[in-house]
Amino acid sequence: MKTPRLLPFVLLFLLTACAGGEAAAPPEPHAITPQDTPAPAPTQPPASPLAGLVYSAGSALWQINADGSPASLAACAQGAALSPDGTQMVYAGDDYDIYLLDLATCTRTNITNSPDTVELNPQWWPNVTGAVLIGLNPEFDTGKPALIQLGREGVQLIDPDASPADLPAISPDGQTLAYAHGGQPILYSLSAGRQALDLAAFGLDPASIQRVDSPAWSPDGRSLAWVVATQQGDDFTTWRIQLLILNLEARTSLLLHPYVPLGRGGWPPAPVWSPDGRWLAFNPWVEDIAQTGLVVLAADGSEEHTITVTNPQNTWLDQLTPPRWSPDSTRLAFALSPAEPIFWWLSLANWQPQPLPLPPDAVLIAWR
Amino acid sequence: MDAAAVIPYTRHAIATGVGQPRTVDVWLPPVAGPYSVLYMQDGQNLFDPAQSYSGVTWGVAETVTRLTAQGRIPPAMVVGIHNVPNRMGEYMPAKAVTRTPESRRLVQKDIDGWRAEVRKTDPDLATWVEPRFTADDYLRFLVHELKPFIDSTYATLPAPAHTALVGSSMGGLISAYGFCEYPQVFGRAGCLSTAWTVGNGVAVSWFAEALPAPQGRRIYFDYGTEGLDADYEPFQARADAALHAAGYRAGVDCLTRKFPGHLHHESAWAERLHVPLEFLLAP
Repeated sequence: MKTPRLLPFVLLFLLTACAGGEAAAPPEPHAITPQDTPAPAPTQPPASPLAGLVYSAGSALWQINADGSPASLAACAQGAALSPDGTQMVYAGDDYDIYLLDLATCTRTNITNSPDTVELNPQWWPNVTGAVLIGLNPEFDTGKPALIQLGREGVQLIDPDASPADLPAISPDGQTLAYAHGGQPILYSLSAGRQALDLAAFGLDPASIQRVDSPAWSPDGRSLAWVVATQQGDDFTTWRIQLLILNLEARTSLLLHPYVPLGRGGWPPAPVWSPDGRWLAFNPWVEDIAQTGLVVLAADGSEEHTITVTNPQNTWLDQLTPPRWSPDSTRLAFALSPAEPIFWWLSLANWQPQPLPLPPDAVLIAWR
Repeated sequence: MDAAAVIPYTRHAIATGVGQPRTVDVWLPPVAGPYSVLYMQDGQNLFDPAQSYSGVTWGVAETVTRLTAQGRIPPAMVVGIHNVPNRMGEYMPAKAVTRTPESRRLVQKDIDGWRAEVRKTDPDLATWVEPRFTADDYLRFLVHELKPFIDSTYATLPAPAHTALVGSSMGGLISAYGFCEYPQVFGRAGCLSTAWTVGNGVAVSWFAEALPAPQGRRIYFDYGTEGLDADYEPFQARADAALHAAGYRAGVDCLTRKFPGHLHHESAWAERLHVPLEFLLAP
């Protein structure tokens, strides 16, 4: 019997696209009425600003229609890892195996069948077909990235020495895995293997970067953002956390948004790039409660917005509900925990957060 | 002292920075200060049996008085911080919950189970409070509001070596969390019957990564063998392994004790409270 000690990540690379089909009977619909949805015009109702937002609620999958109403996509949903074609989800089951959920039939298939190992936190591998990256679970480790090829037997451990604290990130072309090991940045190329990322090559003093983790690739794959500690000594009140953005082609770097972290444990989750690569959204774990909120930062450092809501307490984002950008990068949906209401969205046109009236058990999945 | 008596204490309502003021009960020993300070969770259960969850107090005032009179601990005062309806959410280490999607899922699974149990006898869930993970706000309150108030109002020894978090069950979790998150504030933690089992041990995993270096700090754990405590031993063993891996020496920087026959109950914690107090407060 497998007993998870620490929680490893599971990256899922699913390379096959299953055929779509008729969705099962939809569950009871619920109302989605954004407060600032414009009144419909007599002939051509304006599209809801939330159109295309995909979320799960009530164990089903939903998408907001152009008119703002929720449409059932599937009568089943599990986790937050929706395949790029929207036909499947992958998730870790209670037995710590990885399951594939076919959204058309709601059929669940165990794709690891490994009673003696623990696999968790699956994510889809972009631009590759039929592969799943999983984390194997050693004691007191967050897990080692491993690959599952759908339709093949076995699990391929990618880097036996890896021990990242946060989830690895896969490059948009699917060729390179970024993660941290011992607080240092690692790039793992599928073709060339493991390579430490030399921060000195980016004009940085490696000694000034005391810990690196939580990577996020830019949509064009040319930049890589990390959460870094630039001061981390015995006196935690002097700690500074920053966002480090590496331009992998120009070999330049930017350190942005320094802040004193909340407490001293854990590690902030990775930022989320806008699809156009201009913005990064993240929720810093800030000690000063007056500075808490969702930060939206221009990737070149030229602009910065801190989004606060009516109840500012503890407005951090967990990795279960990262911000979701609209495809045109003009809107952002996010969840704050435990502030009420939990879900919000904002337009970059006015930077004003608006309540997003989703059911309390909703999980933001995608925006397409 | 009569174990059934109400111990005289001073009640304060401390501004929290966010939300409602927090009720805090302060007890001073019958000796002169300056005092080490025990910041204790579930403050309702400390001094007045009528207010205690189980009708039994921890007898902390009696134990501190006795140990001080015997010269086994230096003078110490007690700050009992009342819990709130969101006790589970407030005492659950928030960063452990949100560490990964899976950790969140595991904790939510337990919550769903507890809710289902409550629904059996309370179909409308009138007595159910959906947990909101506000532990970081709680620690902010302790660090930035409560401790400054206590240090400015009473004759305290404010250094971390004289500042302890103490609690049981979920209160043990939040005490360990505060020890890890603010080690320069809380240099001592007493965690009795720590509820490691929540979310299949997600807090143990977090604890293993978040422990500060020993550097003179002390942390205490214990567990019984009956009731809820019967499930704790394997989780505590993992926590102990993490402590040792981080350089904590048993009996010096950390101490874990098993109490056969002890239940998950205030009476059990009262019976053995002298053990953590001596370990944490002894010079």
